[in-house]
Amino acid sequence: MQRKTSEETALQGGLLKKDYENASGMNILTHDHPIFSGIAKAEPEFGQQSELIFLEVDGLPLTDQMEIDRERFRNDLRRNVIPKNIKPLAWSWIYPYNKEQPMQKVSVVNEYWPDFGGHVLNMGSIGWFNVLRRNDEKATKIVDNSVRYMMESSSAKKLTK
Amino acid sequence: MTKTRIAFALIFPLLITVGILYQYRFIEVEKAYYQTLLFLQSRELRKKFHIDTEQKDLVGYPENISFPEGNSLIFYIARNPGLSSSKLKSVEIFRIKDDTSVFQENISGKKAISQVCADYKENGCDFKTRIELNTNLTQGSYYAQFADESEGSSERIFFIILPNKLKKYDITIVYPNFTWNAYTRVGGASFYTSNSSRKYRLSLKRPIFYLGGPDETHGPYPTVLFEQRFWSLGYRVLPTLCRGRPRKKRLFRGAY
Repeated sequence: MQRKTSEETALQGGLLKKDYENASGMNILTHDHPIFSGIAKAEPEFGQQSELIFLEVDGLPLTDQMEIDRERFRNDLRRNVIPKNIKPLAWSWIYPYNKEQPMQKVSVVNEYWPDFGGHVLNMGSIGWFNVLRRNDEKATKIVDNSVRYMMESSSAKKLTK
Repeated sequence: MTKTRIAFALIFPLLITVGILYQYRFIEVEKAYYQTLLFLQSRELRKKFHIDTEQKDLVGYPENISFPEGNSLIFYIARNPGLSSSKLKSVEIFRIKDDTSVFQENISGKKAISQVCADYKENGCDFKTRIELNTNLTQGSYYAQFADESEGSSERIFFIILPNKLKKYDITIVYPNFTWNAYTRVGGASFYTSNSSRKYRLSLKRPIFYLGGPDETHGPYPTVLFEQRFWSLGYRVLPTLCRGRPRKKRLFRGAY
């Protein structure tokens, strides 16, 4: 998936101007997760200024209730590859690569525990390096929290033994 | 009837010859176009990020992107096409972990020849100036910068020193070197050039742009930022590279 689309196309697709302007960043879904430690609940957006959502993004479509939309793929093979225990942590507005659909809400930071062991934290966007090079303090804090969280994860340690 | 046959006999070989010449010319023009484009794009990127804003006159690549600890380092250097050849002056190597200079050597006497990259496949650019350095660098990621007597300097040339013996590390960071190589058009074509006969024969002996080329992602710099961040958090980081196995048709895929 990719973010780039014109403002005009996005607004014609029903997006609010405010949402389009925020589409360069992500929004926290699960505030009590350790990777968002120290981030104010009143300000769930991050990465807008540093262009965290950039070029290419991987994610899972969300329902209006902000849950993974498994029904979206009921008729294609992708329904089998979405892990059952996947946990959405942050979402963003995304413009689908095939450009047949308007911008939509997608869970881009996801966490899950594979059946064969280990612990996966998928950060979703190719643009995380923008956060570091542009000294985005808020998003950099999430990078640091994420690394520490994964280093302390007992299931990840188990896999590497 | 006989005249018509003679005319065809003359015209057909002529058309075939023109066709071959046109195809050859097309490839050469395309190669020159990409060379110029890359040269200009890298200059624009430097301006954009306010990094190394001066023009880089020298380009180069390591013999292998990784060297085992204790081995001498070999680089191939050229002066950018359009500039005249010059004499090299020095080389400096920086450790990526903390961006500090760890090695300097005077290499005067060697000439940096002005050269267009020979090819995107097989032996790659085939730059003629070979520099061998004995450094005693320990395991880690590094970049080298060459300077010449015309006050020109090179792009940052990324490489890794592989450990002879694995120690204890906290984090392994995998530099996506095949992706950089798949996207670079140095030598006239990339993995994504729309000509199926070219796709799977990219040479690793071509310069990689440190800042990542036109879309800013296909060079070492984005991953370097993460390695440096992990070190600054107090973790011991093992920098490594992608590994690929030659297949029957494809040299490697490896890009993502």
